[in-house]
Amino acid sequence: MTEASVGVTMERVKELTKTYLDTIGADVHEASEDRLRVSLPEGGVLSRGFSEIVFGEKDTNDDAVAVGPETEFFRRLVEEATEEQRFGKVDISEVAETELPVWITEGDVSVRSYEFVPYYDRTAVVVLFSVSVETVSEYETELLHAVAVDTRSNEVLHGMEDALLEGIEEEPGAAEVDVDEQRLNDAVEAAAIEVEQEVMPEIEEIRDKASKAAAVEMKEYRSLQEELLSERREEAEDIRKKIQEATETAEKTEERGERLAALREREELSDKLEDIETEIEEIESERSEDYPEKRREVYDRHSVDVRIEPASVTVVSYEKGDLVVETSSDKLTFDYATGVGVTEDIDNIPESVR
Amino acid sequence: MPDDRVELNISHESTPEPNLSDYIPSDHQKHLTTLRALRLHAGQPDDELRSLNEVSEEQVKLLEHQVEAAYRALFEMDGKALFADEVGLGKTIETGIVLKEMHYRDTVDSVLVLTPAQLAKQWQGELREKFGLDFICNYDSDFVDFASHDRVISSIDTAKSERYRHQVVSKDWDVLVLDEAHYVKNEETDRYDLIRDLSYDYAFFLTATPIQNEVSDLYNIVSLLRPGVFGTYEGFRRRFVDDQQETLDNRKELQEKLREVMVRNTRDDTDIDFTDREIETKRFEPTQEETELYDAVSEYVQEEYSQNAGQKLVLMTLQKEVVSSPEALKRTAEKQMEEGTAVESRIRGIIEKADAVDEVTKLQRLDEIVAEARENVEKGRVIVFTQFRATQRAVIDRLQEQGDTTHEFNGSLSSEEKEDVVDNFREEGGVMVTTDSMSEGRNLQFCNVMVNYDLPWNPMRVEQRIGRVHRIGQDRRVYIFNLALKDTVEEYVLDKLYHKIDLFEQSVGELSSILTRLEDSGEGFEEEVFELLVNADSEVNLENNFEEMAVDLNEQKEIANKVEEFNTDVFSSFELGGDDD
Repeated sequence: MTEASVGVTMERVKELTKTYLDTIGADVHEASEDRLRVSLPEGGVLSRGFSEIVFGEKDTNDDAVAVGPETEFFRRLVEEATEEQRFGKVDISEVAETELPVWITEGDVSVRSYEFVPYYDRTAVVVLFSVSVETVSEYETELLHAVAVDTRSNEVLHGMEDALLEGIEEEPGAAEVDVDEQRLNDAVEAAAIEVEQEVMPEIEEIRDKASKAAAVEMKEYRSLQEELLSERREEAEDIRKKIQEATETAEKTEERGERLAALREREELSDKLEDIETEIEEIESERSEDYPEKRREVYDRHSVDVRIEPASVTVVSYEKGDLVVETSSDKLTFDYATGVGVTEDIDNIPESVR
Repeated sequence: MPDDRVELNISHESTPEPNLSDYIPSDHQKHLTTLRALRLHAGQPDDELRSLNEVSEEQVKLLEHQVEAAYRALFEMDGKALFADEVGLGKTIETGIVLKEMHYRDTVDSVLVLTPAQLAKQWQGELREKFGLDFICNYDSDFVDFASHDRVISSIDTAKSERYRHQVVSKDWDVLVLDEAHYVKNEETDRYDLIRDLSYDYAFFLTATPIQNEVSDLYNIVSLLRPGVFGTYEGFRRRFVDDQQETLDNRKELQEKLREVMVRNTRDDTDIDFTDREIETKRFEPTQEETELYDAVSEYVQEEYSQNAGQKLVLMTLQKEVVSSPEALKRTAEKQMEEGTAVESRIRGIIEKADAVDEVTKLQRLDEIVAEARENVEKGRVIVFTQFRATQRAVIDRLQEQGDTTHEFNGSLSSEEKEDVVDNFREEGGVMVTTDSMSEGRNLQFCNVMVNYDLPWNPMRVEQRIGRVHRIGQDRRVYIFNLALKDTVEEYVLDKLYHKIDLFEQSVGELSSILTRLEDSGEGFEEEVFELLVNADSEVNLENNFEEMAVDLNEQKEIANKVEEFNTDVFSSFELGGDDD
């Protein structure tokens, strides 16, 4: 699996703009390195209001549309292009070069020649997955990951996705293969399971940050409750003192009216004290369990929602066969697949060449 | 000890469904291009507002401080923010940007916008026209209840009513928006309880005046949004409020805490220049026939109302229509006749009197304004507002007879047709005659002359009309013409009420702070005007009643101004807007 996003550079802007205009049937003429004359076909969002494109800044009086990484035009173009054709078939064997494994190129063996001898045609799917990770503290993080899976075995083919993505620039041809729809769906499903496992470390990182944000909110809440508790306790202590004073007044005074007033005041204060003590008890009880309801509310709000969605599905035809390596002393043969490399179990490979 | 990590919810979506049989070889190049585009699309930074390009510049010109506020609210405030810009700087726009982004990225399903009753429809219009976001409003005929809709704009009082409260609090909302949030500052109220009991992930509160009476109000409103950020009320007072409670202490610490949760831009921060507004109120002597018609209708309305108050709505309409146009009046009167809901002989008499009006004074005066605009204004653009369709038709007929280019805008048009009408008006110029269905959300800053052909009794409607042409983005002087017939209810409403509160001069947005105060005391504005009118037993009495109402309004206005000034003063040394860099 590989992280498939690429940075938006001016070079890539130029490349995609030209390719996309060409794809939609526009007549594109390069007037200069940074200027295109374009004649567009009817229809389509981009078909209105321009006939020239200039990459980068333009002069005030220039009628051309300025296109760069952050321009509205380019964003729209990208949006449109992502929707153009999300399903396709590519023959990777044309663009995937035969490569020696690292353990040979970095090992001690001196290679005289090597050759891939294909025996079987195989198909795989390479799926680009859009992974959206959303949580209130960061809002949304979007990832794009590519996974390749063999359609016959549903085995993950490490490296095949890179071969496809890197090979795009070399314009690989269309594959003339058919895959049973059920097999295809099963392979996409297998790829989805793989991508979930593979993106988990990134998701866990976001989850850690979200958990920290929730913890900060809980800490604020705990501190609020502590403050409240201490205020209520002080308040309760004040009232107790006042009750004591009212009791003393009632006991000491000989005047009936004054005594009744003191008793009434004591009663009112006692009611108030009871309310406050109940509140203190409630807070203490909640505190002893670390405020479960609040905790649930805060942690629920900060929960991380992950949505994994296939953004494109490419059926890839590739070949399996032998990689024949001739060294100064030997002729070695390894199981090999285009785009994947040596597929042989490492334990089967003689130690002398590893 | 429970697990101290937040829940992780993973879902797998199944789109797009690859369908082999649909695939054709010529799609190959397109597919390669799509793969390239997907990679570049994913290369965009996550923390940028991607939907900004989707917002039509013709509908709303987004300003830097608004985008910055939305950005901070969405990415830097843990999903809970208080938009506290000064009046007129676009808090609704800031919220709209946030909601648009969430919609664009498809991250939220359920959104609840709570507003004062007066502003609910305006919110609906603004979100639709400016951001293409469709919400149902609790005043819409197809509103069922809060459980049946996912994107709802409701008056806060409807949401807290016995009928709906349970539904509203038992639903898990993705987003809560609370407009005029200072009205929930008091923790002893049902409104406060409602907001506290709601369940939501993201919350955006709006107010220009977080402090209403005392600086401690700030505590309640912020604590409702983020409980604990200020500690207890007593603790807040001890740390941040001086003894007289007039000013704030420990300002640096307070500013740091406020920046976590509040964005406030001031007019000084933003360099926004509002152009001048010129108001010309024209009072005309009605013709003999118009006077007779007005008197007959007023007398009929007064007598009928004293006998049958249940007819209030239709009587109120008649009273408004008689100063709008004879055509509008006739339509309602004839309907009454057909339905047999009125005394036939009297209604017949009124219709005859309406038929007798040969020359309509207001139409003549409108001609003069349109002619002047034709000479002096770009493409002769004038927008004429009326409350009634029949008046709209009569005005259009007259203008067309004279060869003027006209455009008709009203609520019967589909969204697409409305777009077309506005586009044609922009391109061709001439006169757009519109009902108040235009008032909600649509901006027409390319036009700077408006005529109030008749005057709504609800000043909020007048402000909404003005707001169509005189908002941020208008770069020319705006001319407003009010047409009124002398010695009629219009003249009272104009002279005694609107001019007393400087309705036509104040900046758009100010009025809501006055009116939501009135709403707080439970008074319906239009009905109050009507009651004054029908219950006055003499002209002097009527004049005095209007005078009293104006005094009340003025008091509210003064309070609102003082509150605004107080907030400006309190927050004057705080930096709560966007970052300088």
